[in-house]
Amino acid sequence: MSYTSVEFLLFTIGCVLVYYSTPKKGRWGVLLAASLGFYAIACKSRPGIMAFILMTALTTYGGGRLLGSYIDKTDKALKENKKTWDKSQKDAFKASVTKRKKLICASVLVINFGVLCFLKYYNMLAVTFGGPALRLFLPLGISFYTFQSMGYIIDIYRKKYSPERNFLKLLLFVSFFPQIIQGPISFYSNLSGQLYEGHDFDFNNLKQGVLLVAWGFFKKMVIADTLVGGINLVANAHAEYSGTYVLTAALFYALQLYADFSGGVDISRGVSQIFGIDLAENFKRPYISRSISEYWRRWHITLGAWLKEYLFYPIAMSKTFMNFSKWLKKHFGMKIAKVLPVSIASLITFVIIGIWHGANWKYAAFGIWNGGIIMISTLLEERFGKWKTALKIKDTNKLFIAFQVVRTFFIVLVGYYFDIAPDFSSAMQMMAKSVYDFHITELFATGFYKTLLISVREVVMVIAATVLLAIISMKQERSELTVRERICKKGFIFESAVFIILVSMILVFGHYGPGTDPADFYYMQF
Amino acid sequence: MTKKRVKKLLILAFAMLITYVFLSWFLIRTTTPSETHIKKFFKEPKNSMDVALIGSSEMYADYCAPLAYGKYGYTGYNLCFEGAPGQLYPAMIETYLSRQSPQLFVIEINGYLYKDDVCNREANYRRLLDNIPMSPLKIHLIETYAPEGEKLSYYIPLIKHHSNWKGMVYQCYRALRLTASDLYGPSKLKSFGTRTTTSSQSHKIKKRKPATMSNVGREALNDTIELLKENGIENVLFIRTPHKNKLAKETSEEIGEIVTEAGYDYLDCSKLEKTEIGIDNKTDYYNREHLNVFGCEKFTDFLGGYITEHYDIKTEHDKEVDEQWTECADFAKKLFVKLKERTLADEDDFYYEGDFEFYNKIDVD
Repeated sequence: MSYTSVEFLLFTIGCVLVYYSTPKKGRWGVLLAASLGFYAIACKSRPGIMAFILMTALTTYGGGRLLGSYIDKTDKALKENKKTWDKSQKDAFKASVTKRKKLICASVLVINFGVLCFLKYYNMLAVTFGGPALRLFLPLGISFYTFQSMGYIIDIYRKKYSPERNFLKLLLFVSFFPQIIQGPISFYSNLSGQLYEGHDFDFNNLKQGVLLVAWGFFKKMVIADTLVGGINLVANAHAEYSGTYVLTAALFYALQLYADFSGGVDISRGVSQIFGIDLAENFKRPYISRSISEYWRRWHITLGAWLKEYLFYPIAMSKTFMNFSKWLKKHFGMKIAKVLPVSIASLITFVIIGIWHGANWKYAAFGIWNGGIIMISTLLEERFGKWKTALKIKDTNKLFIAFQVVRTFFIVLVGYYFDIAPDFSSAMQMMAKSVYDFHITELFATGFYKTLLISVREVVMVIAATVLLAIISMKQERSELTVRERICKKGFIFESAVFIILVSMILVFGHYGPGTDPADFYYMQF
Repeated sequence: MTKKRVKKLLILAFAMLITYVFLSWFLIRTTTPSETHIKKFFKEPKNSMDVALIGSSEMYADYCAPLAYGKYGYTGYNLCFEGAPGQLYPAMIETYLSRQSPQLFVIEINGYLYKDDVCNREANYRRLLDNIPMSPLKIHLIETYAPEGEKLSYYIPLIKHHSNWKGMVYQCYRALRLTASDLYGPSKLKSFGTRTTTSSQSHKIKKRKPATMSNVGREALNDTIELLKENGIENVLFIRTPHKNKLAKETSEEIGEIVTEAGYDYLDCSKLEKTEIGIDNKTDYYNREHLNVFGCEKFTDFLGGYITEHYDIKTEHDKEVDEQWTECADFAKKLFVKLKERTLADEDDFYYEGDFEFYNKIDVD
């Protein structure tokens, strides 16, 4: 059941009606039943997949409870013996507690990340090292719910909050249906309260949620799905096409990926808002970023936040890195000691982001490219500053901002070649082709777009839709309020007109119906 | 939720419904002849038809109902569209029976002769089902005849037709044409279409091997007979209209056998076209499968005579019905004179319902 299907809309309407008809205390139960029902329907061809999500929920719950009770017990023991134990006894006790806690936490992490890594990367490693390939499949949303659940376990370990005592409630946190397919990845501290609290019906939430869902449909069905055919065609047989096609496909991909992923997340957030649940934002107009670091603060924000919290900081603050920093300070001075360890930690994080995207070495290259650029930018930041001063360029200069935005987009685009190409060497060939085999005249030739499985009229429509997307995005960038809040403030006639026009555009220009092959959400595969 | 909000939601729902209905009407597109022939059928007064004519393009090219009325006095609408496959004949018969109680069904057999893949083309289903107004009949037809797994797109045809936005100019033209057609009222020629030539260059049909019945066609013929029996229809004439592309002898015999065994009549006009009908291969066809106005006039005369001779068709109608049909018959006579002139001049243009009424493509007066 895709988020853009009629079945999903009917399913959601049914859930909303049941949710608000149920007494407040039991509303989380409705969400749980809906989430399990959704997952079961989505995986009906392979019902066994349910076992994976249940296993994650069970190990997370069990691990959390074990950690929680152990923390309570040891805290109590520490408190009771506060006066009787001397410092060395306390330190020894704390060390043994930390060791045990780590063991419990690591066990849960190893089980869950182990399953994820095995399913996702076994075949890649088998191909690389000549092992036997297995017929493996990825359970729906496994990356997203694993990350979300493991964040919870680490937080319990860090004593940020107490573990959830009710298994079913934790199962809801792991499986909440609007976000199960492609996130956003939520922190337990942000989401759990909202899930378990029975929300009162709020007409504004309904209006804004519905508008956001419609906007997500628009992005996905009008922009993303119209472009996807040509991208796949060129990427899978790039040798048969000139650089003009390859570059156009890469540019299409930049638009398609954003529209697809952010559209899907808009649907997730919109549906959640109807239930009164505010999911974290996952995108903040990434293509207007002035640097690649800023881009990653605007793109897939929740994954970035998760990795920052549970990977980047632990690496950067680890004993090894601290010692490395001290060594650098001694031999190369303060500046290098400050920048280099952070840059390496950042590079490691990006390599992991890359590998998270898929079981292929090209994704590692994608991570190295992004992390490497950030690392170089950080190391040369001071030098760039000096150049800017020498050239009298101000950060507020509009031309300079435009240059930065274009430059950043170019860097991002290079990264996308790793994404669309079937493998690393193809990505390199495609990049080279885009430069030496690009012929601008081809863009105006009859049949160019037809080859990309898109008619000239559809190109014009996609451009118009993209302009609309850009205008809405810029309005959002400059305002504290969300665009839908602003629409809903203008009264019934205006908001209704916007909604009807939006729905009409989806109905007319959307890529759906017999003879079309609508693509799944791109991030669903991760 | 307050009453005010409920009211607002109802207004919004109504506005959305209006928008949806408009978009569906504007964007749905089958072929113009099928749109007019089927939509106009529903404009005819109920129980005003004496003879029901079912078939594909042969029927509306070869037979002109108002001319037959002018000479023989019986009424009969051609519920036909191009490429109508045999497996949709039962649906067309049910459509006819939903509004009319004809004394005789005339069924042209060409629909049973299409190859299996041609029969199952989606466009065939669309031409019929998408042009029937939403009603219990439409729901019944979709449930009974629409391909499994695609039924939703027949209930919500925008799913199929929304991509017609790419031909916006044509859609606007079509919308104007449909509006004019709706305002005009019942059809003047009761579903008719022709080409003004004796050998069309733009609508050519190749010489083919003698036509045979496909598996789908054979099944469809049996289904048609079964439906006719279920509905207690006694008078049915299965005919093969004149064609340059011949019907295989054994197929004609097989059809004749099945039909007569069921107690119905079968008339293969290919055996009579030169003698009794007087068709001249050189002057009376516009391509290998369709007669032009010269041929149509001859065949209409022949079929009208055959029907009145072999069946006891009562031709008493309401005054209003007779007035309307008399007007149509006069119009058809005048129109045929003009169409013959253009045929002799080998204009090779297509004329169909609408061209004669509001579009003024041909000046009859």
